[in-house]
Amino acid sequence: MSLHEPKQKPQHAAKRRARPAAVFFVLLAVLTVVAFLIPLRPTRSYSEKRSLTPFPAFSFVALASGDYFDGIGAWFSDTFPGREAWLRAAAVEEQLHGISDVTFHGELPAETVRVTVPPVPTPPPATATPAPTATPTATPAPTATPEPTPTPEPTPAPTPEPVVETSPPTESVEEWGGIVVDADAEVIFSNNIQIGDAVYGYFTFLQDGCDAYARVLSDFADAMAEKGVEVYAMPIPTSAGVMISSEYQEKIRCSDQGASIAYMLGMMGDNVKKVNVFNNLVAHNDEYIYFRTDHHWTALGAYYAYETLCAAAGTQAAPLEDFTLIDMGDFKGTFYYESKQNWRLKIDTLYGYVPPGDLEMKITQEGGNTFVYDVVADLSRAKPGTKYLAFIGGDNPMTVIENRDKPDAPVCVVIKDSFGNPFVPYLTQNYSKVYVLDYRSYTKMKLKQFVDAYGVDQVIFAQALPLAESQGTIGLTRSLCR
Amino acid sequence: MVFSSLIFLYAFFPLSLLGCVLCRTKAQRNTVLLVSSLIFYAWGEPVYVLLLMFMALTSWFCALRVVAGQTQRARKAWTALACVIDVALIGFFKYAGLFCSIFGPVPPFIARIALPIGISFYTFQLMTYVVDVFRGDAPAQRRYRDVLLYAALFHQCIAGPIVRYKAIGAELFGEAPAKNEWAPGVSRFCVGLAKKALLANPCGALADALIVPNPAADGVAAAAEALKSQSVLGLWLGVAAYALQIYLDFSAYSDMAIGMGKMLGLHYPENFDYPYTAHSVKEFWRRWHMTLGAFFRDYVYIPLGGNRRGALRWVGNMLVVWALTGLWHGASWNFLLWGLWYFVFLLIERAFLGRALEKLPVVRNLYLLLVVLLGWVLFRYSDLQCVAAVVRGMFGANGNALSSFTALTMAKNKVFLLLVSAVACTPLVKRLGAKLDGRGSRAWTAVRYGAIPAALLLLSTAALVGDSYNPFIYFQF
Repeated sequence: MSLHEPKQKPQHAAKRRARPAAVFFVLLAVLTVVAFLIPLRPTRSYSEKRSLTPFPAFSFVALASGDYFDGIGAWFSDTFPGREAWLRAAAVEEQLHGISDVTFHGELPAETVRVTVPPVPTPPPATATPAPTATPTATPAPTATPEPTPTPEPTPAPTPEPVVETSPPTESVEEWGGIVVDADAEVIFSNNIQIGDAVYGYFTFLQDGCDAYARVLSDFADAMAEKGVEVYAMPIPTSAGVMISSEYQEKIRCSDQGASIAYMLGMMGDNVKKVNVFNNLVAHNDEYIYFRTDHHWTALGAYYAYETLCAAAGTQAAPLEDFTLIDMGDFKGTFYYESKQNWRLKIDTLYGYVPPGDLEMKITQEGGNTFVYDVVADLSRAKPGTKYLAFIGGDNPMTVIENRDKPDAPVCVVIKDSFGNPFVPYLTQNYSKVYVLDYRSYTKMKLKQFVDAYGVDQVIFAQALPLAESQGTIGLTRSLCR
Repeated sequence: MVFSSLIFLYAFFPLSLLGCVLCRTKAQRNTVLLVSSLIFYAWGEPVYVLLLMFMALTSWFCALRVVAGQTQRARKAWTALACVIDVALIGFFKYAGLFCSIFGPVPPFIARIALPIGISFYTFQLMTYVVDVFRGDAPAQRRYRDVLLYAALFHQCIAGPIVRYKAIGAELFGEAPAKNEWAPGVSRFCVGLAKKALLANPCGALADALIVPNPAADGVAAAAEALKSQSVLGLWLGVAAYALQIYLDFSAYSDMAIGMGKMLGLHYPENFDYPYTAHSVKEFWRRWHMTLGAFFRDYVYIPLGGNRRGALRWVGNMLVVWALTGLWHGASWNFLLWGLWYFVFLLIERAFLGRALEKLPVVRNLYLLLVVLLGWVLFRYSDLQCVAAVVRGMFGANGNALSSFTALTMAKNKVFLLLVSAVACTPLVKRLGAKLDGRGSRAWTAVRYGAIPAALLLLSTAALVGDSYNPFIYFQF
């Protein structure tokens, strides 16, 4: 690669070849001037969903340790003018590195053996679900990424209700409504695999985690049983477990999510009502039930989970036709912004299903701000990266939805992460009040107190499987259920 | 600050260059260079810049005393004093922890000593200065700031090449006006930058994905387990990617240093000559880090007697040189073993293998690559558990699979990168450039010195803006 110049060139040749070098110096000078135009320096990367490195604060300690100068270097590099364009160019460069029909993102364990799921040590307990620990359906061979198949036929989107802010947020507010976009609260799975036009998060079965999570819910259900409150466990699989064929999952050493869910539910006590949504999702994996560019499921996927929950609870699921479909246009999820080859990804479309009825949803944010918002908001005009906030206004410590058309229906509380957001709207059809607690941020009272205080009849745990088996979630859930 | 950072490219370098260009005399230029170099070094080592200044001060003073010495004994004594101070300081800052570890746990105050960046480079340079003055090969500098500039010159202070005083003194301080070689300098600088940003960094990221980086002491067991489970293909690919990273990264810094020197009319020695194309270990070391090899040859091996005092003494001299070569690269036992690894092969080649390899054109290349790749495993891991896991695994002795989906996918993802990087390790492009140069085409001249450097600068900038993987791998040197 080294282009060493030949020796002993005549003087005129040296002069002649010096002229083209002016191109380099002009370019260097222009970029140097641009680099010092501070207003051109971005402070936030929308493609990476993060704040860029700020200019460091001066201190003599930092100066002596070298941290101050390192900080300036990091700021200079991270906020380089035209960052987004440079990153796009770098992505194109990286495309030239090889054949990239399948790529990895994040730090993967180099060659770990695929973690397999052991059988449940005790016979499956009697449950209320039709087949809670039934053998999970083997995921069929992947088909081409299914086109969005909204059912029923789209109906015209209603004019969104105006947002009433009883206590408007004071920080930066997206133009579409009253929700502060807090990128730091996003759950991002760091180990991903990109297959063709879609990205999937890696999943590894953690037996200790499943056991611990099952114990937490079992203990809580035992305590609730004395009060006649039903506890439902509904671990939610991610796209890798449902959309990728079992053979391919084995090849890429992803643990079997169907078996993992069966194991986790099988470890739970009799007082937990087990909702195994896996098989129903696999049965529909030729539909648009998971996003390609995001780690979440779609509202349609959440509906099939709702169907399964209703079957477990012995109630009638509201038909999807009763809901009003909204096509909110392009959606780019977390995977899109993590992928270095996101031009290969097929951009998602975000569909929302607006529940019918006289509904009112109140959101309580961290800090206590409370305001009314749409259960499923039309975020057609929002940025493609923020549209998942359409579902119950995103992740907030507490949200309450009241269905005034069903005053006599039971009351439930949903313990959820962001996977629960598109799932919750369907519950409005079966409950007079749906309380939604995000276990990661709700700290006002313990769940047992909450159940008593709000007259809750049913508690539904709707947490993503990779999170449910993680120590962080187990600790927070245990603390909430204590 | 490192050459492959944006703050160097678009703040430090252009401002320093502009300052030099605006100077009318060499003395003014040297003042700009000295101030620049001290800022450059202090940027990474705000405190240890004082150490650099102190070591330059002792060398400057001792060299003056050498010149002023009335007897050979006095001159020798001042030379020895300078060398002892240099060796003592590098010994304290770099090797105190290793030395203490022989006798038990390293005391906390020793463990807290941070290694000054580039100490191995500038210490050796200062030693060559005093020794060259003693030998009469170079004049002693009257002004302290000139010795300081020689030691601190940012082009080569932290990553080489090791420039001997007698090789650069005349150009740096002599009366003759500097002949700036803008076009070759720019070309060489941009080639180096691109080798680092476009090839070495992604090769390093691939290596880290396949063979875990050197773990901390408490992570050795986990790292060894991960390495044991890696497939044969994954290990070979990882080690090969690491080998490419090391060469491309190291030679890139030398290219950039040489390029910046040419822009100011300073000619630094070549440091690499396509070492992976060598046919033997002996030839490899004539092509790899040539300035370090020359230092040990001229300042250690030959003064010890070289090969002129019998076979046994020669073996002893070689042992000393290769142990020092290994330890120069890092204060850890694996570096010592890495040096001795080559010592053993040099002995074997001298005994019989060298002559046998001459008759085996392809086999000798494969032999060299195998020795070097296994050597890099020793170089990478300070714990022998990890070394053993990789070496055994490379031959399937860990019960590991021959291949895996992950390794195959990564190989596919990076196949063109690896091919281009491999080509960059050969003189093919250089020869092609020379051939086109020979035609004297103006269009080619414009492309070579205008379009290609500009394109490489832009591409490298794009790669560096993301900055997700841009290591400086010489902190241990």
